[in-house]
Amino acid sequence: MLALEGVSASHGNGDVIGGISIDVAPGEVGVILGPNGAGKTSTLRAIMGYLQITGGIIRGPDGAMLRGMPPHRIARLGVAYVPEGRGILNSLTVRENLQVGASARRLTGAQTANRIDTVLGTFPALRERLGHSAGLLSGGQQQMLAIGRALMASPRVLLLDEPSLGLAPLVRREISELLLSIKSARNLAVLLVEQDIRLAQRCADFAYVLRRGRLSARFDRSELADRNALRDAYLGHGSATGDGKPSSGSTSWHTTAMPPPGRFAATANKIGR
Amino acid sequence: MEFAVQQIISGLALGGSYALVALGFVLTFGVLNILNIAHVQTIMIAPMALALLTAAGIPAIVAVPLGLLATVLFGALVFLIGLKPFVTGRGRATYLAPFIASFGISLLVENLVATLLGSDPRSFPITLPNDLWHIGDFEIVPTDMIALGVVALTLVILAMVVNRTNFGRAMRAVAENPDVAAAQGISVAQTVLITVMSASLLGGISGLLFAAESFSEAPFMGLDYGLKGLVVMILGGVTSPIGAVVTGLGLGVVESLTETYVSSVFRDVITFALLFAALILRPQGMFAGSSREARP
Repeated sequence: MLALEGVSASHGNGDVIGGISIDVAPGEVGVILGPNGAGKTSTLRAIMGYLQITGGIIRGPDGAMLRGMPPHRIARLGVAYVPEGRGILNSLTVRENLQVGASARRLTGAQTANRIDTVLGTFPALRERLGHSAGLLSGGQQQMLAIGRALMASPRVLLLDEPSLGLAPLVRREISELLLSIKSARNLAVLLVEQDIRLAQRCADFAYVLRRGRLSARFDRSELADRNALRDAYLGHGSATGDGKPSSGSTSWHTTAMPPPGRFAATANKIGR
Repeated sequence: MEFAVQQIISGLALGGSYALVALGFVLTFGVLNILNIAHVQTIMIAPMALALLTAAGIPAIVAVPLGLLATVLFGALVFLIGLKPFVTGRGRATYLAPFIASFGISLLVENLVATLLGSDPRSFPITLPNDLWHIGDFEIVPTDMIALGVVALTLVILAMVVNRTNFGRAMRAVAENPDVAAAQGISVAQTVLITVMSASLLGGISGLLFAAESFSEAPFMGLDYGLKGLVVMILGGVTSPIGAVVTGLGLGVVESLTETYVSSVFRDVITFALLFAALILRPQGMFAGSSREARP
C-alpha cells in the first residue's frame, strides 16, 4: 500500500534522508521514531512530494509510482497527510476545513455533507463547533480536525506527523486509540512520526528508528515492549558507527551505502520550513 | 442638501470601481504574496479592446464580454510569462523581483498600446442614457446608477464565489497555506491562475465603469485609476476584501465631495494625504485581517 525502497531526498543542497526503505500494508500502523533532526518529517514530506527525490522508489495505493508527482496529485491518489503542527486553516471555519479536505475527490455538495456527518461520528466534539473559526479550537480539537479533514478524502494511506505534539497525556491516549480504531475500520495504511515512545508502543505494528537521515533499526510489535533496546536504538548506543544497532531483537537491517547526510542539513531544513 | 446627496451617489459610483480594482489586488496578493503592478493595466485593456471592437462594427452587447475576455487573457498571460517564473520552483525570489518585473510589464504594455493605437484620449464608444433621472427633488446621473448596479452585482457574485464554492475555499486555503492546500488535493498552480484571471476580470469591469463615468479612455488611464485602487487596498488592510470595499466607497465619496466643495485640483492631494496619514497612524490598515499571521 505504501512502500519506500531506498529513498533519498533533498531540499536542493544535499540529501536530508538517504536509503530509506519502509513498507506499510493496509490495516497496519508503522511508526518512525527518532531524535530531532533525524529526518522523520522529511521522510513524510518526501512521500508527499514536497521534496526532490534523488534516489529510490515510492509506491502508493494500487502500486502507483509517487516519485516526481506534485503533492496535490499524490493526495488525489488517496494519500492523506497531517503535517507537523496540524496544518489547520485558521481563516476557515471548522466545516470549511472539512470541506477542503474533500478536494482530492470530486464530490457533490450532498456527498461532502454526508462525509462530514461520518467524520463527525468519529469526532463528536467538532459538531457544535462547525461554524466556528478553526483557529479558535483547542489543541486537541485541532488535532481531531486535522485527522478528520484527512479522512474526508477517504484515503488509503495516512501520514501523520507528531499528532501528540503539545497535547496532554489524556488526549494523547485518546489519539492513539483513535488511530487504532480508524486503521481497522477503514483498512488504512498509517505511517506515523512520533517522539512519544509510549504512544508508539500502544498503537504501532512495527517501528523504525531513524537517525541522521537513515533507518537504523526496525522493531516488530513484540520487540517494541523491550524499552532498553528501543532506547539504545533511539540514542544510538551499541554501535561504533553510530548506527544504533539495538542490543537485542533487531530483525531487519539497512546497510549504509552512502555517507550519512549531515545532521545539520536535516536540522536546517526543519528550521527553514 | 439634494446636491450633496447627488455628489455622494456619484462618489459611491466612482468608489465602487476603486473597490473592484482594490479587490483585484487583494485577491492576487492573497494567493501570491506579491504585488502585481501590471494589474493596473487590466483597467485599460477592457475599454481599449471595446473601442477596437465597436470600431470594427461589433455590437456593444457582444463587444463588452469580448473586451472583458481580452482582459482576462491579458491578465493570465502577464502572470504566466512575467510573474510565475519568480514565484514558483527554483526561481522563487523575494517580493521585490516580481514587483519590479510587473512594473516593467505595466510600462511596456501601456506604451505599446499607446504606440499602436495613439495616446490621445478617445470617447467611450458606447452611448449611455444621458438625461438626468428625476426622483423627487434629486437629479441622478444614469451612468452613476448603472455603475453602482454593476458594482453591487459584481460584489454579490464575488462574495458568493469566495464564501460558498469549492473554488472559493480552495483560494482561501492557498492564500493561508499553499503546502497544506496542496496536501488536500488542491492544485495550487491552477487555483492561483484562476484567481489572477478573476482579479483581471474585476479590473476589466472597473475599467469599463471608469471609462463610462468619465466618457473617456486612454492608454495611460490604467496607472491613474490603478494607483487609487492600490491606495484603497493598503488603506483597507491589504488582505481584507471587506476593507477594500468600504475604503473604496469611502475614498470615492471623499474625492467627489472634495471636487465639489474644495477644488478638483485637491482631489488627488487628499487621496494621497489620506494614505500618508494612514501609513503613519495605522500602518496595518483600517481593516487588517488576522489570516496573515498564519503565513510562514
